[in-house]
Amino acid sequence: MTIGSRNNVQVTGQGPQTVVFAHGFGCDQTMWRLLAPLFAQTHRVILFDLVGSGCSDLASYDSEKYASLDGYASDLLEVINEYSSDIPVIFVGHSVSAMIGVLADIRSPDLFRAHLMISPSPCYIDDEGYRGGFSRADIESLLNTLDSNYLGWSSTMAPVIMGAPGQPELGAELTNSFCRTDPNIAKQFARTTFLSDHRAQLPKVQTPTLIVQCSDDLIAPIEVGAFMERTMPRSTLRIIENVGHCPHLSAPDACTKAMIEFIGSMEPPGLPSVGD
Amino acid sequence: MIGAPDDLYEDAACGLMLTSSDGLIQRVNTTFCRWAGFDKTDLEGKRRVQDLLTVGGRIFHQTHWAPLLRLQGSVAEVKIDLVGASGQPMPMMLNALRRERAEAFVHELAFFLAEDRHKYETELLLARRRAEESLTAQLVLQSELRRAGVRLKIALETADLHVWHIDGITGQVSFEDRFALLLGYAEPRPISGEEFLALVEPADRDQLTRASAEAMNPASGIYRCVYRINGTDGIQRTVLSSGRAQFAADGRCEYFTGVLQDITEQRQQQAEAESRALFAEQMVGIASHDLRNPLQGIFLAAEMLSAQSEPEKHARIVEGVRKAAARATRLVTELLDFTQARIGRGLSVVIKPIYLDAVLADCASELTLAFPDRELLYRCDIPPATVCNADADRVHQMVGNLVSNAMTYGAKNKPVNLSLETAVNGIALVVHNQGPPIPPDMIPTLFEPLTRGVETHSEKRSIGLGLFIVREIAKAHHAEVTVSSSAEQGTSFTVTFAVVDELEEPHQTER
Repeated sequence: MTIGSRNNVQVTGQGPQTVVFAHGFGCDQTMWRLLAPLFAQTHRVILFDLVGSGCSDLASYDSEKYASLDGYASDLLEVINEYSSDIPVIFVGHSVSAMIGVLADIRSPDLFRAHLMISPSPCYIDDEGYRGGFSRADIESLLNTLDSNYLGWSSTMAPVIMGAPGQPELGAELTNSFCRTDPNIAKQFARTTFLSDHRAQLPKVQTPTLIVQCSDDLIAPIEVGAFMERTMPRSTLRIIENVGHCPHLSAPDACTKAMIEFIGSMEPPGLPSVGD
Repeated sequence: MIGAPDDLYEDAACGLMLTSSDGLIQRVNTTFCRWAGFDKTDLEGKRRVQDLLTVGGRIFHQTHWAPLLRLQGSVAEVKIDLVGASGQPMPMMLNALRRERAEAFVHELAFFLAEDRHKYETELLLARRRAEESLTAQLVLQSELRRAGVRLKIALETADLHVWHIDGITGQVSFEDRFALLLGYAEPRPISGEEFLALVEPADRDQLTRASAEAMNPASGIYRCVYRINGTDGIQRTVLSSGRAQFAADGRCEYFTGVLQDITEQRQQQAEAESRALFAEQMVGIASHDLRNPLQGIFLAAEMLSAQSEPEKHARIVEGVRKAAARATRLVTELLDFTQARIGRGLSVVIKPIYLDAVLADCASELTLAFPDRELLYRCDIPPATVCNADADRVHQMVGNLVSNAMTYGAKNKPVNLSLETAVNGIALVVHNQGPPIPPDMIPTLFEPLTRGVETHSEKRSIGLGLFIVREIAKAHHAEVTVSSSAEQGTSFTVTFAVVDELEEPHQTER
């Protein structure tokens, strides 16, 4: 099993700088459908699916390896090493993948030029002096919901396209896998994601980081963005007007604008950084 | 009459809702409000559809069907739990469309109550979980069973037990493949009942039949018998076969399982042990009997001495005492030597270079005195200075035993010949007598303890250890004892000693 087929790696675009996109809990790389083409005009773009999601190789799913985000971080480092013609890369991580990027960065900081975190959260469960947005019981409730959608979302029945008028339709091969996961994998990934706590790792990241925080996000409440900016030494917080957890889908323009501006504000690649 | 389109909307058979792109409810129909227990005014323009979901449902909305709706324009058959005004979650099925209206995207949602479906799904999930649990339990059991099987196999192989079964219903006999080893095959292989029976020693087959009848008797059910198997490799093995039948309530045999054990070696060891025990008993008997006579002689002589006043008679009586004591001493010495040889240490010898002919000459003169009524002829045919490595006392003892043996079993009117001759490998010491030959069937065991000649008289015999000790002494000298016996030639015992280079100066033998 090659890394390419294990993670369903797709490479598009050309440019001196490589941008790696990693999706969050729930769906797969299709989530980047509105953003990736824009970046591909001027960058080399790497898209991939986390093992257990989308069109990744389900046989490679090892419940021991993926019991923590470290397993996913190892995969990310392998994908970058295998597919990146230039290093360091700009890493765009949505939601849980932003934390996978943190863990990978701590292990191999030389591979990362910048982190662009979309709706990240280092800890989803409330703690003393910290608001993550959820209680443990809430996470149990999510696991039940995943369970009760088992019949509709797993096996052969893909969500039906009802053919809304005026909508660009996705290819059939995409709808067949998009957001559809083996229920056992989905549940374990939900546990790994929502029960994890990576607050202690944040201060260790020395790579420039953009935190894109939505103004109204159930999964990453507004306090989380502020907490991260306080905790990470070289971070910038951008709050964009959006309801929901997926600004790259529901507010793609604002999201892209924040990202491009941040990249533009960084020193051009190849120049030695002075005074660090 | 067909109802107005508005009626169809308001009181539709499903809950209908129109929201903006971010989920804010713009319109909702009466059916939905009735199900959820809300007033329209509580919802329209005030609540978002995701606010009506359980927390788990909201995360699921954010991570799954909201992105899907945006990318795909529609979702169908999503299962959600709606929290109504009462706070109770209501299972619903949801279809949704994303549509552009007046330059803005709106979402059209249709809800269907799914109480029964929910119950059905819950049951399915529960059944699936139970199936998974029982599968896990089953796998655990299977792996335990496998482990137990391996353990049993190791135990059986270590104990060298061979298993066989009888199917109580078909009566079919089956053997494990390793059973073939007992039948003399080099490798395990399938064995049929007929093949097995053909190899059982014919004389033992009745035992098998009787044991089987006993095993099929519900009052017993125990199978046990010992029989011999004539192996295909030509080796006969003795096996102990034991087993037990399991009976059903109606007395029919359900299963029979048995094990076979090769007890050939145990049998041999047992026979040897029995023979040793018998031998010991016999020897104790003979030794006590034979010791009684000389001791009684000594006792009588002592009484006579105390009563006797004539000094000239003393010498004769004392001579009688000396002889009786000598016999008792010889007996005790032989027993000690035997015990030493028997417990595996061998006889103790002190080997030095000696002149063999000098030792033999001494023996001859002593033995002539010991057998005053008989003739002993000694002849030396070897060079006078021939040196051998030997224990002079042991050679003495050996010659004494051989001559005594010849005197006892040889013809009484013929001399016994003692001679030293040059042989191929060294020097031969020969003791020869005339008289009836040793029966040929006795020759192979002649040197074993407790072997005796046929015509023995209690006065003359020893406890039958004489020749055994001769052989043990020869063994200790790396010498060989042979015997030849015929009516014409008489009987000769020959002991062959190796010769040492004559240059060496022999030690003076002690007398």
